[in-house]
Amino acid sequence: MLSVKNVTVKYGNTVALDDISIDFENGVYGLIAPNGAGKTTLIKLLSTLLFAADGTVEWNGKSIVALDEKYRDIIGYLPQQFGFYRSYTAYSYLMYLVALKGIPEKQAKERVNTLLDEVALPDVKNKKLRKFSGGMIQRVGIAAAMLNDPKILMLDEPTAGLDPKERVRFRNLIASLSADRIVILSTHIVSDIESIANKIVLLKDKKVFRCDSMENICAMLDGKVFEAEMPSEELPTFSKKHFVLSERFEGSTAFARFVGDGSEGTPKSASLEDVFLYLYRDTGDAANA
Amino acid sequence: MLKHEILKQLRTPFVWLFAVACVLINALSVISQDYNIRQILRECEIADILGTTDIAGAELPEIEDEFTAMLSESLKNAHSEFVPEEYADGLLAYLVLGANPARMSEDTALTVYDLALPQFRERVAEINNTGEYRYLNGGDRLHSILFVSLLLPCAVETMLLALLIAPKCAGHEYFAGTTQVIYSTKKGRSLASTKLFAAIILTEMSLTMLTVTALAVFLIRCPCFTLLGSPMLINSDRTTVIPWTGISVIGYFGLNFITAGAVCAIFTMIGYAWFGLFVKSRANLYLGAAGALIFTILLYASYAGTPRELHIFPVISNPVILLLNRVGSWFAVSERGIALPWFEAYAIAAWGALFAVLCELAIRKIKRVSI
Repeated sequence: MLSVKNVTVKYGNTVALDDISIDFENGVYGLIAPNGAGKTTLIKLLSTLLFAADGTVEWNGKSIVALDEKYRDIIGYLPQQFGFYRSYTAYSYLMYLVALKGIPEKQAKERVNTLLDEVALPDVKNKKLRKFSGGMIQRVGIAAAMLNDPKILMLDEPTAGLDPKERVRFRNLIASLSADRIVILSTHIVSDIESIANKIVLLKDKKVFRCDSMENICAMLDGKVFEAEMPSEELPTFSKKHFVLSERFEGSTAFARFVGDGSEGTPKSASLEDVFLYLYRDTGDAANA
Repeated sequence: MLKHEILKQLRTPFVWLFAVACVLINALSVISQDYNIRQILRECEIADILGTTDIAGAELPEIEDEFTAMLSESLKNAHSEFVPEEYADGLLAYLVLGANPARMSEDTALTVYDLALPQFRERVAEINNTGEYRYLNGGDRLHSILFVSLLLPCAVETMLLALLIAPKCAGHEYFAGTTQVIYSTKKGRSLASTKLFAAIILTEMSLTMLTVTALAVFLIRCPCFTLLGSPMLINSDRTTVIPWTGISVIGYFGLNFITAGAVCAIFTMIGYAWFGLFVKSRANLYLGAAGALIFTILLYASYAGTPRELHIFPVISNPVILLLNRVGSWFAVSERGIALPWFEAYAIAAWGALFAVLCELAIRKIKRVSI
């Protein structure tokens, strides 16, 4: 079990995470929050790229700072900006990372080739990375994170740059991996985790707002989500009276999905996106989710 | 990991371009200079006859007198039309050996030299060879060629290559944006020592390549292999480079080889400490590189202005030796203020301590730096 205990992370005098505590067990954890809420900070903390000002992070009861290489041996990390050496090919870069992860060379080649197959890059493995598209680079990053078959896999915005087909492929890959490891997935794309996450972690005001199952998270808005139909020109007025989650137009008719008290509209089941938009309605970036 | 770090640096086109440019410049420098090759080859022959590698050795008055006498006799017999009767033997030989070429063409002088050589070869067998022999100007010129034209530029070029290699070694992850990926791996934060060894190996390879190519071009032009084993002297006083012991040309190269690696190690750890402790932006990085370059130029300038005694690969000991020489000249063993050997040891120890501190600081910082 990976335990975060009363951790505070600071950048200089600025608090990025304030006294957070959370436990991670095997399964997929979707980390959702607007920009600047601390998602990347939390993931970097768990990847030993940042150190806590207060509190500890423990793996099976031992501090990850004390474990040092032993802990990093079992983690895989895909950063938000996956850096690479432009003169390297995909194969040579993964072989370099394999050496950094301490995997013997005999196993390394097979592992690299297997992962390149899984991310659908076997035909371009000897092509220089500077010629790769953004989506291809991202797939190399996913393969890199998986090289050492990690027990803890941390992915920061992993589907950025991937087309819908690749995103579905990625979701299936993560779902297949989650049975015997911890997967922490930070993303703005709610649909990426709706179908695969076992737990959702919501960060707000630099704290963990809630860590619960998808059903329980969505239950926060049970009975409060409705859809109303109206002429298009009435939508602005309607938006001022209610918190509108999304809008849809069919000809001159507007359909507004909103949070209400039940006095109007057709009741709808709350989705994770509804919860995200409603919870972070005071934050400007919530609209970009 | 060492293999990977070395290959990573070898993928840098600019380093290759610079190295190739250095090789070409050295080769052109060797080819274009006038070494008076025939003279040098004659001196090598004489050294071979005497069975000594010291082609610029100390006094051997008996052999000098013998050779001078034989040479003068040969001249008078073979080319009497060129030789005024009133010329003294010693002066005649001096003129023949190139001191005053206007008096006789070099070809003629060397032809006479060739005539004298067989007689000299026979005579040597009868002489009790004490192992010392004195040439005239050729020895100085040869050592000047070897040192000033070949080994010194190679040493400086290697220092500059070390400056190119070391920061890239230290800051490659920073520039490529791979710090997060690298430092989250098992061995990522322990790369400092691997990078250090990689930079040392690359610098040694650079020095070997530069020196071997320059020496090869020189030896093709002037195939005098005897000089490789001759003592590395510094001036006409026949003082050896290292005051307390003789060192051959090949030995001097070996010493440079070893110290080149140490120099690169220092530069690498300075670069790594700089990245670990100070660099937060490219501006800081360029500032650090400029500082290192200025440091090297000042070092070389100070070296160029020093007495010629201090010819060991300068970065390691020179600055401290200079200081100790100036301040502690009352410890000198001669009027020139040559430092006693233990000052060099102190200097190396001081640099070693600085290097060790930088290593420790850099490694600790890299282990704990937040990315």
